[in-house]
Amino acid sequence: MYHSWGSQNAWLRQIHGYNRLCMHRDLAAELGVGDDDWVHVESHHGKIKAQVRTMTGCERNTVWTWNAIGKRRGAWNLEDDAAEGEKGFLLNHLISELLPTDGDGKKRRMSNSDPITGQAAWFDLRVRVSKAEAGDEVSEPRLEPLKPVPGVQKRPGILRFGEQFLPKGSWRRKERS
Amino acid sequence: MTSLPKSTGKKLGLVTDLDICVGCHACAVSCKEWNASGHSAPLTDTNAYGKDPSGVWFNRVHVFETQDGDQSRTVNFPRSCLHCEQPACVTVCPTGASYKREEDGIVLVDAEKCIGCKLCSWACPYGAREYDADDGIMKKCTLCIDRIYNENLEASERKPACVIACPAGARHFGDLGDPASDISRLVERREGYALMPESGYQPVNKYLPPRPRKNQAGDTGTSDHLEAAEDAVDGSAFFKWLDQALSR
Repeated sequence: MYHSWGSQNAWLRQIHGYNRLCMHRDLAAELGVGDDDWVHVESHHGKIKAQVRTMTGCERNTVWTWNAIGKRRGAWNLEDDAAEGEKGFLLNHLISELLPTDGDGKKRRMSNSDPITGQAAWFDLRVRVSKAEAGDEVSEPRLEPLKPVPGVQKRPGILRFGEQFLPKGSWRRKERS
Repeated sequence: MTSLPKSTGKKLGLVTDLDICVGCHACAVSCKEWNASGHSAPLTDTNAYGKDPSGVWFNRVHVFETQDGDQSRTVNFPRSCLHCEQPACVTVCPTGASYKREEDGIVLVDAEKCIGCKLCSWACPYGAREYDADDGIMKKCTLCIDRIYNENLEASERKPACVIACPAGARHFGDLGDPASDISRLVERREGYALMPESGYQPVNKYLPPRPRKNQAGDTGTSDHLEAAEDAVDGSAFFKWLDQALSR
C-alpha cells in the first residue's frame, strides 16, 4: 500500500496520497519549523524540498517518511495537480545507488543495499535539514510533467467500481450495458 | 419520522482493540471491496485520479499521537457505524429508509426509500454516515449483513469483512446483548467502553483501551541485566561467529 503501485489505485491513494517528512518535535523546534512547514533536506548526493510533520514517537535525530508516494507529475496516469506530484516527495534523490570506492584503486563499486536481503539500505544516510523560505508549497525537485504514454486509456473522473454487480436495469447503473 | 423497535433480540456489533490496532487500513479496504460488490454498490470515488480524491468508505481509520509524558503513543482509531441502541439517524429519517432491525439490531438504509436529504448524517454524532453524491443516497456499514447470514460461505467466514481482514486480530464480532458471549466477556475483561456515552445514543460497538506502555525492561518480564542473560545461555561463540559474518 505504501509504494508506487498504491498511487494508481483510486482507493489507496485516498488513504495516503502524499507523504511528509516526520521528525521529533524537539528537533523541529530547534530548526524553527512546525507542522506543515517546508524544509530542505540535503545529503552528499542531492537536495530535496519536503513538508514537515512533527511527532514524539521517533528518535530525536532521525527523520523518516513513507517513501515512494511522491511521483513525477504525469506519472501513473495521475492528473498533473495530483497531490503525489505536488506535495509528495522522494528520498531517492538523496541516496546514491552505489557505495563509495574503498580507496584501493579498484573501479568496482558495491550496490548500496543490504548484503543479506538485497533491500535498499537507506537507513544510514546522514542529511542536513534546514527551513525552506516561504514560496510555492510544492516539493522539489520539480520536473516537467511526463507526457501520457500512447494507448493508455483516459482515467475516469468518477469511479463507480461495483455497479457492474447491480441487477440489470437498476437505476443506480450509470453505464448502460 | 421513523420509529425504533422496542427492543432487539440480539445486539450484533464490533469490538475494536485500540491496544493492538496498527493502522494498516486492511479493515477499511476489505470493507470497501466487499461492499462495492454488494447491494450498496458502487461506493463511488470522485476525482479518483486527481487532486483531493474522495470516496465512500464505511470504515475509516484516524491516526493521531497523544502527548502524555512517557505514556505518549500513536493511536490508530478505526471508525464505523456503531449500530446504536438509540440511533438518532433512524428516528430523524423522514421516509423510513433508515431503520433498525428488530432481530439483531443492525442499522440499515433502504436505498429505494432514501431521498438523500442527509438528515441522518446531521443527526449522527459519530460521522458514520456516508453520502454518495453520485447516487444521491446515503450509504453505511451494514455489519456485512450479506456475509454474516450467508449460507454460501463457510461458517468461519460468516463475519464482517473487516474482522476477517484484520492481520492483528484487533477486531471482534458477536452479540453484545448476550452477557455470556465471548465478545461481551472480552469487553468486560478489558474494560471496553462506548464512545461518548453521555450523549445517550448507546452505541452497541465498543472499543478496548490501550494497555499502559511498557517502558522498562522489567515491565516485559525480561532481565534488565544483559550480561547475566548471556552467561546463562553459553552462546558466546555462536554470537561471535554471527557478528563476524555480518560485519564482513
